Amino acid sequence: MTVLLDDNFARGAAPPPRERKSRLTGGLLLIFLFLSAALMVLSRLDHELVRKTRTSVTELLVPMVNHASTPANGFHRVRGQLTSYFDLFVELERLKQENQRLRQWESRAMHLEYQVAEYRQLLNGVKDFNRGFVTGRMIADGRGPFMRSALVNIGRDNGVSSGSAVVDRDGFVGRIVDVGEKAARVLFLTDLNSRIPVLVGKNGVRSILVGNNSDRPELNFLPSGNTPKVGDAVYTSGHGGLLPAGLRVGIVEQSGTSIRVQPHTQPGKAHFVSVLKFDTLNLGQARFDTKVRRPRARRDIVRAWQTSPAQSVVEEAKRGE
Amino acid sequence: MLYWLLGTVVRSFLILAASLISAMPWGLPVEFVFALPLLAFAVIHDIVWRARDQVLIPVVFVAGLLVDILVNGPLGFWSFLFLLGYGMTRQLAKPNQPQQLLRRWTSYSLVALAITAIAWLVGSLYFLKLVAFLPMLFGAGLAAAIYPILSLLLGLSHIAITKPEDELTGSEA
Repeated sequence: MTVLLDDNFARGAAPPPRERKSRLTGGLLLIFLFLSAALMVLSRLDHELVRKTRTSVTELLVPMVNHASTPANGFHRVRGQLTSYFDLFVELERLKQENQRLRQWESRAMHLEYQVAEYRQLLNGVKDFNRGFVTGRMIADGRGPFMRSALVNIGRDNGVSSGSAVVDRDGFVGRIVDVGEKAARVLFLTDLNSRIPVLVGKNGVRSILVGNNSDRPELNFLPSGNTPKVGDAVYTSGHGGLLPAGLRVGIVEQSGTSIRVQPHTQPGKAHFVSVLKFDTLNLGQARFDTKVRRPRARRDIVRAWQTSPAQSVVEEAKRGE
Repeated sequence: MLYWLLGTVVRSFLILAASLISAMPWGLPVEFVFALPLLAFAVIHDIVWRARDQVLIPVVFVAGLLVDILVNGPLGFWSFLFLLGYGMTRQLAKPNQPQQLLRRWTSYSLVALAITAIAWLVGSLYFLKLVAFLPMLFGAGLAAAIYPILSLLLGLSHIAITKPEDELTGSEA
């Protein structure tokens, strides 16, 4: 009996303080593990509460994240400078040639745009939708084994809305899936949940570009007998009215059982991106707005070219460096 | 008490800052992106080894949640993994153990590997699809390779906020 009273298992005997503390920690750990698992389940169910909380907390964090991303910006700048220093001469030569080629294309494109405007007037066609844009910086990287997304420091305050297309200087990057007042979430075209209606090749074969969390999204739902060739251009079709048509996406890389596309952009590596303000609500309105308009003057077309989103992204990047 | 409070506040701040920084756009190749949250966990691991009583479970939970929110991952995913890693590290880092870098490094490598395996399992269950394991393994490898440098840097903050007599005995726990 005496032995039992001395033992810790005996009724009334308290465990030593270290053991008690350890038990308390274990209990607390279990509670928080359970809480995490519960949050995961709610997240999986895409519960409204989870979505709202995520957006509000992101909103709160934006100023802090903006400041915290300073080292990442410095890292980008140093890396950019080092790369340009080592590749300076090769890059200069390449750019000279490219510039020469692009000058020819620019004059050709301007001429074509003027022609299209004239034909549109002759046909009494509908006007182009206004594609305003706003450029922002990526402040948080959401690329991982399960998702490909990023946070940009522009939101509803800047006129960004859910579903808007996001481009960088090389082409289509993804679309906005979540918007707060001061920040928005971009879902990259490589994400598992990304589905982009596209046109493939010269014949403009309709297809859906499906993200698969790899760097090469796949082309699905191609009409039978329309197998694209390697090197065929892929661009947005605008079907569904969510995204503007004609944004360059990539080229067909692998043809066979699984047709993969090599995107022109490297989502996640871009530092600055532009969000196109493509208002789908205007589509219906525009159908009835068939007022005949004079084609834009040549100088207006030049001005439009000079202030394209791609140009703005390049300028922002230069300013950032 | 004052030293404990100061240490807890500074270490909690370090953990949360590491989580925030891990979500920044570093432009890493996608194969290595998994290393970033694991490096945030490396801070937790290192502090548990040095001063286990100053790592608060709610702070570990919030750190994971912060990563989840910023990377737009499943909410609770990194909190779950960080908490599991914290529990494993507490088992490996017994109080009054010698503070050798090699020991800590081995412990971190083992825990990071376990976290990676669990992350793959949970991720595959969450998305109902087998997630590619190799990029995660590369990320874990990179995080394990960087750990000694991070641990040495964290050692500086440890010296700055450790009570003098604790430093002499080599343990705070």
